[in-house]
Amino acid sequence: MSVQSPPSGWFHWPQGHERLWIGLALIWCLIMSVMMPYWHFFGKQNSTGESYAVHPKVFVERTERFVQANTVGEFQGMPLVEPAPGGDAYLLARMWSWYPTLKLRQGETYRIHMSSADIQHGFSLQPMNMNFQVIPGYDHVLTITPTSSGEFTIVCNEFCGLGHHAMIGKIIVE
Amino acid sequence: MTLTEADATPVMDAANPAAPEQSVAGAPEPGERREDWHWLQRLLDNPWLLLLLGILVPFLSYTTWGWIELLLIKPAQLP
Repeated sequence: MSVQSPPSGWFHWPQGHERLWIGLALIWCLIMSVMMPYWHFFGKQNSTGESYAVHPKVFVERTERFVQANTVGEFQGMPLVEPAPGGDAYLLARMWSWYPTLKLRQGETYRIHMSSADIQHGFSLQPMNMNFQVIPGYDHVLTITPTSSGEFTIVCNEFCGLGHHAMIGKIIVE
Repeated sequence: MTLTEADATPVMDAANPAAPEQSVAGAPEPGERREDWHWLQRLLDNPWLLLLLGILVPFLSYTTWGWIELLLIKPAQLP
């Protein structure tokens, strides 16, 4: 036979250079493992995944009431809605639009509730490149403070059918 | 190039069993007990235990943890 089985008592603790190499690799693995939860809580960019259960129909109704109470205009055919600073805003994803267009103020903190009326969508804020899943049946809450003004585009980055490529929304910060 | 008997690969069959010094992986040698091995070797030489751990650990850390999180999710307040 060309392949030999190892001898019965094959295990030996690593010695010398092998021990140093394994030790360094283990320390680096531990550092990277600790970095994951550390950056999640202290990285200031990551959502903690605050989510609640909600029926899609209930969320749609709540969004409609939010839009009717806070509409300040229209933007490219979509209601332009300005929530109260420090308050809650609602963003509904459905095939194939982001409803409504939100108008926020720089430096103010908002709690944006996101959910879907139909199927899974992906909320991708450009050019920030912040990405979150938007799933029917769950209210995903993002606590955000815009730090710069401008027009930010929302694209859907979870394939949702024929109109997925055109599912574009806006968040305007003044 | 001329081949000689020295170039031939030994054939192992019923007439030519494996040499006694070749051990079977995962089995103690005669006179040696499994309990004498280091615990890490006992683990790594036990494919069935490794299979069980390979299924159980991801199932607990991914699937079961996910189920628990889903069961603990609260209803939305929608203020």
